[in-house]
Amino acid sequence: MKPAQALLSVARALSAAAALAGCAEQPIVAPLNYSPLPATPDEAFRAEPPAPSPAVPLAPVDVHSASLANGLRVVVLERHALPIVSVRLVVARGLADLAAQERDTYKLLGQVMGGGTARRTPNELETAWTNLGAGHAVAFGSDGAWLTARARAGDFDAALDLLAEQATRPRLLARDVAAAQSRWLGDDERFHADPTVALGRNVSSLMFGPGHPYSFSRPHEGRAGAITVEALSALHARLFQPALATLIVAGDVTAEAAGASAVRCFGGWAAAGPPAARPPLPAPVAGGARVVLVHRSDRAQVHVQVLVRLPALSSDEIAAVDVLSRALGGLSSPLRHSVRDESGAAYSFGAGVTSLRGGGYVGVGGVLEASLAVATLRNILSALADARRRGVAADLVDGARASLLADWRARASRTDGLAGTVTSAVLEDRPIEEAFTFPARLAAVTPEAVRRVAERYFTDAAIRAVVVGDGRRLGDLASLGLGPIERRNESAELVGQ
Amino acid sequence: MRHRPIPAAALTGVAPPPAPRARARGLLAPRGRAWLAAALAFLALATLAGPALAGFGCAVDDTRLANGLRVLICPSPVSSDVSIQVRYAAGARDDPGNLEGLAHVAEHLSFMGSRHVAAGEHERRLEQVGATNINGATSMDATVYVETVPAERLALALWLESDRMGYLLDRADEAALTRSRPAVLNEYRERVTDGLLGAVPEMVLAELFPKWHPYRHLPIGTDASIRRIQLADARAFLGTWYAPGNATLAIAGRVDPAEARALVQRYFASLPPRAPPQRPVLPALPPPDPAVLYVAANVTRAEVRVSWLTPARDAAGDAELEIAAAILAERGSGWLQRRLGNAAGWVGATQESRDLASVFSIRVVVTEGHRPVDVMAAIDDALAGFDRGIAEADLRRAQVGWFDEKLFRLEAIASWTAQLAAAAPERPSMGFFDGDLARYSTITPDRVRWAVRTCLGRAHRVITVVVPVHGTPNRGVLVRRQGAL
Repeated sequence: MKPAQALLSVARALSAAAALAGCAEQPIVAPLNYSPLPATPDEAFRAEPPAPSPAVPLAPVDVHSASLANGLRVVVLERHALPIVSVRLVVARGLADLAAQERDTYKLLGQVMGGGTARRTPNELETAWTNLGAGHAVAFGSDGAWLTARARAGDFDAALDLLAEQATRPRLLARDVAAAQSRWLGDDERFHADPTVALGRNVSSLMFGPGHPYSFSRPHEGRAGAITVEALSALHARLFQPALATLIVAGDVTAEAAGASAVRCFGGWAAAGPPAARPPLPAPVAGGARVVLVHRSDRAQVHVQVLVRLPALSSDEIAAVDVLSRALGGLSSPLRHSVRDESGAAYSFGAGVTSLRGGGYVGVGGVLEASLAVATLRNILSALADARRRGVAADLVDGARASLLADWRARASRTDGLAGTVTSAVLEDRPIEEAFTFPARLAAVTPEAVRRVAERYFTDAAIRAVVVGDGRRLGDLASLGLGPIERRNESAELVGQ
Repeated sequence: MRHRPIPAAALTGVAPPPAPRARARGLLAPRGRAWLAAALAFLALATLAGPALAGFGCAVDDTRLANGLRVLICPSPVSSDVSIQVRYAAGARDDPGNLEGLAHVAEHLSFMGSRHVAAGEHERRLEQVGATNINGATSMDATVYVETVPAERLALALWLESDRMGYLLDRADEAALTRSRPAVLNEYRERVTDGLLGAVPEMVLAELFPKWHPYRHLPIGTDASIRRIQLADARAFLGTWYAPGNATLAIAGRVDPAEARALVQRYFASLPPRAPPQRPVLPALPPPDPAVLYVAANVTRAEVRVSWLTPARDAAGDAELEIAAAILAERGSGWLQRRLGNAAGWVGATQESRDLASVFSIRVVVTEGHRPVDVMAAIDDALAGFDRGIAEADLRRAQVGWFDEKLFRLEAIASWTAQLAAAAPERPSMGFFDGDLARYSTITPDRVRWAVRTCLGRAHRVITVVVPVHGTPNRGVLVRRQGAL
């Protein structure tokens, strides 16, 4: 035995003895084999990737719909692979449809509707849901509100009963409203330390400007406390009307059964007054700096997003923008490879599109090593300029299309994915059919179409950026040539330049 | 898309015919006793839960190649795609001392190419053919590689994974390590250095596990240990553990078992066998000393966390504690939520099951105006409630919630391969997959009470109190440690 091997054997024996005595200072693990291994013999067929077998065509999605006598639209997507149903009641009225002085009332209403009904306390309601084992949620957003439930198919009727009760008869008692106010203010405060929340709030504010319904606004304790039960009740009556609502059912239930259950649960739902109007969307507020810095001291990394705001687009242009975004931030993206692998600037990096009824935005960014942030931002700006001037390579477009289609297919194979797809169409005020023709529109996107949207929308003047991190470690943000830098806090409030 | 009207008769209040349930794949296990056991388990669960829970199950083709690779193939109706997972039974528990994070670095290195696949080509090829969920992950016990591909691309996925299994060392060189390390360091900064309370998990592990235990460190390692890892270490890890005999290949979705078996045979059968080393037998894990850790962090709300060492995965008490966690913090109606009321902004309880030992945790975010000491008292009261009695309704609610959560997860085809591959090598699939839904059907209130009494006592728990202090790092800083409360 060679001396080195002998020493290793002695060391292992000592380690084992220490282990048995329970006093080892290092983890007791199997030793690694540092000896070279023989190379695995090669095989000629491995040199090239295999060809695909015949493609499996996408199964068409069957969408059934009808409207009840009271105006409630019912949409059913049958899917019988698992005994599950996903249900959503979507009301197509949101922050963007309300005057500024009503928006806090709307947000508080969202909190209230998350707990209790006219005949069940919050605890009783929660117990009812958990007795079914069902998941449920309430969301109040910019373009609408929706109540969600997911349950076993055998509990569909029971889940729909609870959903209807929550939607049409919320618990509006002073004590519960006070608890909701406290929860609302508390939640805002609780997430204050999270840089991703700070990033999101500043992104929306930068994209749409102060006072815009799509911008973040912080709940104000005084204003929140002044909202009365009567105001909440009146707003609920205006928004939650059958003519403004869509009931979406996806899963292991037939259209006939779902329709009959909809009649049973919602057939008696009557409007309490005129429905809330849908005024024209306000235009984003122009002006202000193009770069926002939220200073957070002593952080090794910065969260960044380079942004381009988009107007309301045609469905074809949306598909082209989706492809462009995926080409910029997907796994095959040269930009992502450059940021992650070549310069070692990030672990998390990507791009995405946020779609709203009145437009939206594209964001490219991630969590960057602070000292490399400015160089990476320059890299991103350069990639956007390239896309505008030269377009995107055909193979990247092909890959982006395939990737987006795969995402769509994954969503369409889940009941909550199907329900979510229809929900998005309703909130964005698009025909439901359009949501399910996405694969065809995607297939029609060409490199030229991608270049056109980049040229039209990704202009130098349109580009913005939000940076959350330690400003002292960043380097010279001004060298990016985007103009003065605005300093804001975690709630998107100006704190000086 | 086909758009059709809902039949008018359905909208007039006329009773519809009974809705067809999901086509029951039936309990198709070829092995009679296993079929019967599963059927009885379902009946028991159905009885316990009231209205009948739809039975669910799919056949599993369970084989092992001559080189030791276990192959599980499960046709599933939930997706037109195919999910693939390769699971190597090696993880952070196999990191040598001072090289914490080695398994994770090796995972990153494995995306830098193999003999026939260039660096980055694995992800690129998959994305370009419409794959999703392309990823790798390192845990304490295993390293997994996953992708979900269109059904016609199964051969491509198997070509890529077999190249990784058999030919990885060809490209595991200094350049590859140099490219991998920054992403790992950035991941560490994101999760730990800058992560909200990112330093707390390691503080707790250091209290629960002695220095010699492989679970004492996080899979990601530390900044220092990541930088210490040399190429020879990474190559040794891959050479030691990434072998067919230490791996499970799971395939689920739109797949024909015979065709899939043929493809697996083509791409994996010729890879040479290489037995993994025997892991040393560990001494008995002593119960930890009770401790209270006071952590200052730049957060806005105080937190109370309580952690215990608990039985390993599948050991007696493991499933019972999972149910106990659901009883304590099931969405909004758990015992903790009811006792804490407005004092808690968020409540959670988990039984994190692992191969060698598990960790049970309770976490409460304290709302303003309430004190951590009162929250701790409520936690103790909730735990004492198990001794006072568990109502059948509470147990049923927890089981139903657990069952449904499992069922909902099955909509994603990747969860099938995750569960199949994670099944212990010794545990046969019995030719049947039900997502483990029947496992919890025989748990009784007495068993849950026993598990809580035995495992969640005051004598051996670690309490962490997070105190908001502006200006301290987000990750948290230990300011004081004391023994039992």
